[in-house]
Amino acid sequence: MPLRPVLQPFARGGLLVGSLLMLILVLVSVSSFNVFNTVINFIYLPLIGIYIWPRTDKIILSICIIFIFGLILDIVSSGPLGLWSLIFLINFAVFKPHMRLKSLVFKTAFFSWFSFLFFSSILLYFFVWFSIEIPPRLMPLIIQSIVATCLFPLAFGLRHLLKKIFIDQFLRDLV
Amino acid sequence: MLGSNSNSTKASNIALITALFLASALFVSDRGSQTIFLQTRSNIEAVATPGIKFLSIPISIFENISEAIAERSKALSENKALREELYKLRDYQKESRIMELKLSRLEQLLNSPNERDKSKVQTVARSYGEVNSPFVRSSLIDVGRKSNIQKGYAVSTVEGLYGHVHRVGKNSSRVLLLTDINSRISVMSLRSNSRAILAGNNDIFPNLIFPSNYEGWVEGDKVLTSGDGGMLPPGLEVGLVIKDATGKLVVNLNTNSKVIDWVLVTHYSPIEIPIFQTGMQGNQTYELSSISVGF
Repeated sequence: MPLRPVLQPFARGGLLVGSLLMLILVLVSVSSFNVFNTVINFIYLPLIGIYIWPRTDKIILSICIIFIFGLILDIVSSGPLGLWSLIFLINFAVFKPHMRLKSLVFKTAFFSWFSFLFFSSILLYFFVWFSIEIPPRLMPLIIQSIVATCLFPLAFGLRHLLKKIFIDQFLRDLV
Repeated sequence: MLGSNSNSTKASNIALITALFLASALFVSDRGSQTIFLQTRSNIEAVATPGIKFLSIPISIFENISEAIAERSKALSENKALREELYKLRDYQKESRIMELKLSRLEQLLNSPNERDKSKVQTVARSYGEVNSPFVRSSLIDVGRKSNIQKGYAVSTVEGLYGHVHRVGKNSSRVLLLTDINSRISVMSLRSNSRAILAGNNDIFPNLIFPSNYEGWVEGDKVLTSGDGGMLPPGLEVGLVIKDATGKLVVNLNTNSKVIDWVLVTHYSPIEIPIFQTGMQGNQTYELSSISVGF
């Protein structure tokens, strides 16, 4: 009897959770927070959405959704078209969040988030340099990284909440 | 690949490469100009604005709390300073009334048009989603074509000029902030009347470039819009001249470090290019711009 590839089961609704999370993160990312005379932006926030993208077998659909969310972020943040799509897709291709072997555990996810953030920051730095033709200042990138890291638990919690709402309790670990 | 056979792996790889190629093509072709899909951009911004508005409610609450704490801590000292300022302003008010009277009398004598007589229409708008990313400084406001907003209109707060309308959608508009690297406005010093261009640099302190005379600009000068070029109304407060760490003169904007929520959009039609009428060619007229192209 020929050996057939073992299909890993995937929970239905995973993509819905990922898309809703991305939508919220994209909309929040263009809001600004002025606290004690300091304006804070959350432009790195959607990167968390890519990093904790649900495990799914609908890879082509995931790519399309990520591409579209990248374009939406480019438009609502008034940046050059294609910039965020490119960063999201490269991260998606390199880190393959949809193919992780185990369900996300906060502690391990948080620690490996730094490598993802570092890689994304390098990409953003060079793409922005190419776009505006002068090297961007490093301080805003560092501040954005810190802000995104501080908000990581919140985004992770939101994902957990969305999982609870949209996915059957016996299948939640598959996302 | 886990959970998929080789065919779907191949298909997903092709999809990924196609998406990457498409994103790269868009990025390269839109580089620096942002002229692709202008209408689509406006439409998407119009759709996204209510979402941003809704999600910025909790953020606004936090902002208001932090502002209240900060304001309460400096209320006493501010009250004292305001009282002193009030006494000074009363004298200024008296002087200003006398000057105003004198000016209107002189204008009547000279039969000169008065800038203040122009009807000044302003629209109040709510600012959402100020983007201060490493490469763009802009903001979304919740008024658009429906409120007769047009590209180029000045957007200010009670403190001073904030930016100008860059893109107009049906119910929302994109404001290019003075700090954005693409922002260039003509300004003047209130003290010396010297002109310069205020150029954004993606920093909080924009640069003063091409000054008409270097001696005309010193630290502490109040900066106003000059109205040169006819794109923005003259006399809008912008900020104060300060020196940066390298000793270069930059402008500390009045809107810096302020919570920007409500803004005023000033309806101002740019000065029209005059029609140049030649005496020799009968009824033939030329626009000045078309003539200057020949030189």
